[in-house]
Amino acid sequence: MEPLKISIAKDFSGTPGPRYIWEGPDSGELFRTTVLYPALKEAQRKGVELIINLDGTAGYGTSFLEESFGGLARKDDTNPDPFNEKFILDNIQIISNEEEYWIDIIKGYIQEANNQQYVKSY
Amino acid sequence: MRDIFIFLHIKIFFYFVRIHYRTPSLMKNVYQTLKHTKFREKRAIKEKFKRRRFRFLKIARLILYLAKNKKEIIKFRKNKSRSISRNLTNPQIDYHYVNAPVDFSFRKNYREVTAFINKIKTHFDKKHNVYVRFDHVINIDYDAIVILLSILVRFKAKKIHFNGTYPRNTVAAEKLKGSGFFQALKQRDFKESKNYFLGSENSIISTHAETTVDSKRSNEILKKAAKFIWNEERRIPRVQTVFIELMQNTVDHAARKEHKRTKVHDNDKRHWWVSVSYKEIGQNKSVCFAFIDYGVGIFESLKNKPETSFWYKILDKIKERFNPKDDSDALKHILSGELRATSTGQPFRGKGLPGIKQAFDNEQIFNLHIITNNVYASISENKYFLMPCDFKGTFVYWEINESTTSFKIE
Repeated sequence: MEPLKISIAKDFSGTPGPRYIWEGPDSGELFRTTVLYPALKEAQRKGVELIINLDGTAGYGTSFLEESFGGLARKDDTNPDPFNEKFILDNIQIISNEEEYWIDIIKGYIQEANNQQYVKSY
Repeated sequence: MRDIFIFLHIKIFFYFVRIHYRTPSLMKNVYQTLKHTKFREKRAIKEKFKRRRFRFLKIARLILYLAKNKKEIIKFRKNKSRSISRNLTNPQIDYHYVNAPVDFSFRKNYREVTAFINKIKTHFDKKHNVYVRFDHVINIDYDAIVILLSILVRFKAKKIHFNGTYPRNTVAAEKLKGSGFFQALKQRDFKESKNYFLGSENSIISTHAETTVDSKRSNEILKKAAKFIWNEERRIPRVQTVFIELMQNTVDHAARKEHKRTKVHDNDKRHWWVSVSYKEIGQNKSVCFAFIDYGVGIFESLKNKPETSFWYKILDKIKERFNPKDDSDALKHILSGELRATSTGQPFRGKGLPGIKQAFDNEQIFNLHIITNNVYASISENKYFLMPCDFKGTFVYWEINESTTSFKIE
């Protein structure tokens, strides 16, 4: 079966914003709850990989990415049923040709969130 | 015959006497006679009493008016500045005078500029009207524009009088004029707002302010910067990251400590300010960004991080690990991202401030300066030191040029 694909620029916003919804438009929290989490759930149901393309946006804040990806593995009010770190890392493929360094950083966010060493960055 | 001759002589004599009598010198003599002097004295006394009576009536009418309209006056006095109570017939605005630094550049003259900002802040907190003397200012740097405009807008938004003199130096005056400073100064119906824009689309300097993390706005600013450098609108992701980190810092600290997810009350929201200016020297084009917020500064906000945050007690962790000599040394370690995340063992880079330093290390931004609390950091010159004065807020300055990585907009 073909993997599921998401492009943040096309499926969410060309200008990703802050961490939380109240901080401003196009937040990481909004992206995770409306796009990323449902897509990953769908990928889990179908048993396929989820490919996320970070290219094409105006640029990312670290808080947006941490809340989006780290938030998948973290249990809180907006995410009562988090994914396991291993599941996320095995079933997500991140494409970032414009800024390759984000791939390792995002993996670090997922690992830290899962270990609950670091819950909220600010 | 003899009688007729005498009569004719007498007639001729009186004829000449009459002519002579009508001349000015004779009139003057008449005017100075005792009878006329007394008349003039009496008239002067009458006029004097008339004027006194008129003045007395004027004051009496005023007192009657005040007695009738007491409530309205008290309300009026509360809403207006204090000086109205001094002289009700002729109210004057009592200004507190402040001299602007001769070299108005935060990066080069941080001591005097910090003292200037602190003085203005004191007056602002006490709601004093301020008159800034720019007469002797020789140089106004682009980083000073954002300070001046942010101060002006804050005063105007709170309806506190803010005025000043023009700089005698024409270059400095032109810079201020181009920034929209005088336009905003003269504006009467200034209202408090969540966002501001000063200058114009085509001016060399434009200033923006917001209370949220507005990535769309920062993207528009960067697109315009790209058009100046590369003659077309482009995306500049690394600089957008820097922008978002700074906006996030400003907005974050205004939030309540306990529940970061709850909405912040409007009164607690703080503006961030950024002035963008365009420089062209020969064939080299660059765009300068001066970002400022009047929060509590980086160090104070680090001391107030919640327990669940990685940044919780970060200063203690840095002290344990690196034993920095002072806050400037601590900032150096924070920016470098040397402190590693305990679970992954990876350097704590790509998060907040270290991300800004990383953009500089990768030559995406240039001439990076950070001034916060009592720390001055010129990252491009690798200079970190303590200032003798305290700046409550965060100031960051950086530039981009043709070597900054950018991408086409699809």
